[in-house]
Amino acid sequence: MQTLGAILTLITIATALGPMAAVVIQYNNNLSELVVPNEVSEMLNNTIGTGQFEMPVFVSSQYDNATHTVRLTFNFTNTFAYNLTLKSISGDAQCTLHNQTLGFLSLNGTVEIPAGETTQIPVLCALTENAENHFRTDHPGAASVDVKVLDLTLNVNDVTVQLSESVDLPNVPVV
Amino acid sequence: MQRKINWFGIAGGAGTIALIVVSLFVPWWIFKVGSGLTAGTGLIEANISPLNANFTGIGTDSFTVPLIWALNLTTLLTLTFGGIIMLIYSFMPMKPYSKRLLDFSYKKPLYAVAFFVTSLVIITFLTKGLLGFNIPIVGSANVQLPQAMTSGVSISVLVSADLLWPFWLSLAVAGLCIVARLYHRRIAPSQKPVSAQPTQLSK
Repeated sequence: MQTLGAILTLITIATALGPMAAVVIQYNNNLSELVVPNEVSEMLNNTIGTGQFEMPVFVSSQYDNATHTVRLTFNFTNTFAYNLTLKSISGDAQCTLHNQTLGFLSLNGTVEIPAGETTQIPVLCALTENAENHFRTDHPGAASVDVKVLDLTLNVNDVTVQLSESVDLPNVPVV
Repeated sequence: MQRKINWFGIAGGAGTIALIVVSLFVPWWIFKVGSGLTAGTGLIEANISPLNANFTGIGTDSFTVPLIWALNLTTLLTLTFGGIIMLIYSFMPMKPYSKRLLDFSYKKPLYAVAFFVTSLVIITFLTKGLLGFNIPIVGSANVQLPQAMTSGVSISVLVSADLLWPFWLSLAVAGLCIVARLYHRRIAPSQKPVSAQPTQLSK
């Protein structure tokens, strides 16, 4: 009985301390790696990628008279070492000059952006009725207006980023 | 004389071994941050059980944390010995040393469950205390990262967590082992140690 008790106690001590002692001995040169392994820094490097996060660059826009929609095209360079999926974009478009709300931005479908590549992002801006009145009264005869986007919100891989500053879109066509 | 067997002990011991095997492949708790490229995956994922914990992140293969790996191995060995000894006891519950085997083994799954639940609670408290946001133990939530961490830009992340079926299996196994301990009283009532001196009968 005493032998059995001793064996069971030995098992308890060995199973409790053995693995812990083994990893401490294995990592005794670098104890911080016990808690933060190399893969975590690798993951951070992959996340940060080769450079800074780049904001989408406005490329062009087209006005569709039939649907009263402006189609905006942006170039987005994915500086991360990881493929991204842009799921949604939202924001309020305002006239830069008069702060009049012109419409609401949305993404035309989801967009896959491969790591390290630049992809075109199609964004739709549905104009409000007030926008058309505004163009007639405050911008008569103008072919384009300067627009700013407020509360621009991007959903990338279910990570939602909302910019606190407005984004300027110069010379957006309105005819 | 019919040989007595503690059937609950057999179920508990076999359940413990099954739980070990299952837990190496299916986590007890899964936690996802954002969404990955394929459906159902996360941008960052943690697959946690007391026997196996691994993490996948952006552009990395699955990895583990050495300290957690040691704790996992401790639980694995503890449960393995617990399960085997519970099975040995169950086939010979009437031996003089059986009670000792039972006492050693029946608490092990319970300890594993308690260790796991305590760890989850500590993780949620630490996340709240150190990083300032709540993470769910079950369900999904939009976690708003503190502005101090995001240079003034508002960033919220969809996180989801779930307890998977091996966790419920572990509760069942822990329950069976406790029932085995209670059943032992019925099949092997405690024997009083025999006194060395003959008892004097009072007149």
